[in-house]
Amino acid sequence: MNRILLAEQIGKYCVTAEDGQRIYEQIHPLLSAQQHVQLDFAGVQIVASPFLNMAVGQLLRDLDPATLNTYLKFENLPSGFKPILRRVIENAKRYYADPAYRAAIESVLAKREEDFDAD
Amino acid sequence: MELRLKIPRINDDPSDYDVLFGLWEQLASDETHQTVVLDFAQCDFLRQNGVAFCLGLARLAQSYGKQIAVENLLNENVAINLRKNGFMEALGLPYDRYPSSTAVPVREDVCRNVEPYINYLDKHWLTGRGISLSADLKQIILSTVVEAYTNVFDHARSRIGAFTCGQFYPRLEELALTLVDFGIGIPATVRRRLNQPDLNAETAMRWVFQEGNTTQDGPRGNGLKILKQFVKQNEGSLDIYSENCHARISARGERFTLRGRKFIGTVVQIKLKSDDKFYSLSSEDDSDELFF
Repeated sequence: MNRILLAEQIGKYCVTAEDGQRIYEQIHPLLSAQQHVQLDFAGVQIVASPFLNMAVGQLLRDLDPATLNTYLKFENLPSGFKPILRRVIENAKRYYADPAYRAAIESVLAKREEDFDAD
Repeated sequence: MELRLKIPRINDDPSDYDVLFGLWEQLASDETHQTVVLDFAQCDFLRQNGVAFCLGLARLAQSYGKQIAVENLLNENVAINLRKNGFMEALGLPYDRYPSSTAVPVREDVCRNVEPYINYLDKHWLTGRGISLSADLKQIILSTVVEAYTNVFDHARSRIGAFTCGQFYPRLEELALTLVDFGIGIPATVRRRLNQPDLNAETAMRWVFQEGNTTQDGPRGNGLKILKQFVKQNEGSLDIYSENCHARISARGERFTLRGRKFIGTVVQIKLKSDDKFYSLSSEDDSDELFF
């Protein structure tokens, strides 16, 4: 079991997308190799969606829900934050379930970034 | 020569925002004056939104290379409030620091500082005599409100950052918080995201509140929806002003209206109850648990 103590690695506030990306990069290879991962929220006081989007939501890009239910466990996540986690996962499922929708979004976003760069 | 911005009584109704946005228009369109005077002669009341917005105006003026002066603080309550809530101190003017049970210091963030911001909200906004919120509920409120704060730095592109001020209204058992940025505004972000330059502000604001819509790459875009759901469930309200659109979210529903005044930037105003008894959080979610 690979235990990730978020309070040690991130701190008591798990909020930003950048911190979520750090966790994603750590756990994605483990889960892809079908190793068990435990995300431990002990000592974490604040959890927000930008962090969860990146740490957890984007796992659904190439890992299926059954695999994630088997290999990824959330420990000590206060019950008040569970609705946020569920929302993030449902949103990610919807996003990755429709490749055409996703491709359309990413195409427009790429153009937008070009526009911004040109500004 | 000076540009004189006359600040009247400021509450937090849409008409008060029209006044604030009118001041912003004066400043944004001014190309001649080197000094901007914030003139409080006609101001006998200033809510937290007015404090945050006026500090933002001052910083915006300074970003244009203009000098700032504050004059005619004739009303004693307004003067005391601005001296003790950090407004005068931020502008390098004489200030006082003595405790207040209801006023929250004004805060400015040029860049994202999540931890100090959460500590500020916890210490100054959610803690005090007359506020009765459990530690667990505070955590949920903080995690919800910080969504609005991170949005500023993820989306707004505000060169002068974000301005926050809060207030506790004991008789109403209400906590109010206003967050202002002077970035590109929500409708402009949506237009670029959808590649629809002619989209009107109301349509853009409606779009951003709809499930599944995001202005960012990847499975994101939950922040405003989380905030919306939270205030609807817990007798709160959320008002967002951007360009000429006002979005009002509460348990009564969602209302989007076009206003006469336009503001390039975003104001987020959150009102929450100050006592646990008003909150109806979903029952304990201890199912352990197939999240995916």
